[in-house]
Amino acid sequence: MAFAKTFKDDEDSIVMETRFRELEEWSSMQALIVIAAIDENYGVTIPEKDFRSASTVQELYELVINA
Amino acid sequence: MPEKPKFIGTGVELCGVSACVPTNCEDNSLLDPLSEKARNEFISQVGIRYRHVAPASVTSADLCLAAAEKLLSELNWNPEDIGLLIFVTQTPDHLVPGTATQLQSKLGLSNGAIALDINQGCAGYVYGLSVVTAMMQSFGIEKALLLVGDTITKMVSKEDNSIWPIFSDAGSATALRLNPDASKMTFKLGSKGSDFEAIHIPDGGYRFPIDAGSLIPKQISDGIARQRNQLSMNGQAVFTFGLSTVARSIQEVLLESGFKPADFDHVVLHQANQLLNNSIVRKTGFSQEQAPSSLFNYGNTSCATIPITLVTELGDRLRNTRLRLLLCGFGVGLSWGNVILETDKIVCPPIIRI
Repeated sequence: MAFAKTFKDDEDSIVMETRFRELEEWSSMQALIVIAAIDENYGVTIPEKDFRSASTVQELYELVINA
Repeated sequence: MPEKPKFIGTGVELCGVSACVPTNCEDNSLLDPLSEKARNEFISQVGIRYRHVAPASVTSADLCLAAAEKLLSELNWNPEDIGLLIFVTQTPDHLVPGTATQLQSKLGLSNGAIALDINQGCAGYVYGLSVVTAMMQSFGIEKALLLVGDTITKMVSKEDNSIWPIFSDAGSATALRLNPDASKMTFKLGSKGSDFEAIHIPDGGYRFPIDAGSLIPKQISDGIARQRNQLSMNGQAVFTFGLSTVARSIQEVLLESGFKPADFDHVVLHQANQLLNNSIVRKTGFSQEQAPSSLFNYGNTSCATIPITLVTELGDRLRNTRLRLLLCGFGVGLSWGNVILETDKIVCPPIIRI
């Protein structure tokens, strides 16, 4: 999935329950990369406040399908 | 909803553009507090390696003055013939008065010239062009100078790893004249003041004057410390603003003007972040080849990024061919501005360093 592919080292271990902010690779830069990847792959720009409120991949997924 | 404002500038020709940066340069690959991995990731994703940092003795006005003197001499224009000077900046020489009148005097413009400051940032080049074009048209002013520049590094905390590696200093000058045969300029500007805090300096204006507390550095988070009289930026909010509002504004100006991305030689975006610009370019149907970038060598120079990119990346083409361009600035305000214009073998000296 588009989200996991943005991670170089952690791609294979990412599942819906992953708390992505706790990953070693997570950074403010990674946040922008993820926002851009979601925008490119699903045509959804997640508002900044909503993005900050999401902590698992499942929550991001819900933001995308409910957009 | 009322129709969003659009302005068509007619009979005004863009004759030349020049730009100037401070000689002093910093290299993000040597930026101390960041890890090597973080530095490399920053340079490859955001795209910024070198930044020009003005010393205390050099102001935005000095950078613009050097750019203007060079441009006027290459154009062979007599300063006394210039009836309008607009200076776009957020880093004026003094809080009072505005800086434009001093530039009028230093450049040798007559006392009959209009000289005015505009407080604008990343969209400032397009806003400045719109004001100059509209005033030239309505007042019948034959020749005008648009000076656009900032020394943003002077308002940023060096202890703020979230923005110190981004900002850089530069000034620019653009010369315009009335010409009934000039091709039209199509402007589309917008504002979203509800999000003004995404890029702002909390203290130091008259809402929150500076007091002793303003000057105490505060640790915001790991690697981010700044004073309340220094620039604060919510990068994530600006990023999503670019992806949504700015991309949509480009789509709107295309739709309303009847042009398609392929009709343009280039789209010149405000230079803030390469990852963001790549996304905007893709979303709006342009090719990456149409979108020059000056980020690697010049960083984010606020209102000056568009003229810096014109001079450093498109100089040869501007001098030798006719070009149709879409220029798009966006950021502080929040605000954004698009203009579609054509240039025809304009004067464009190589970048100046002082």
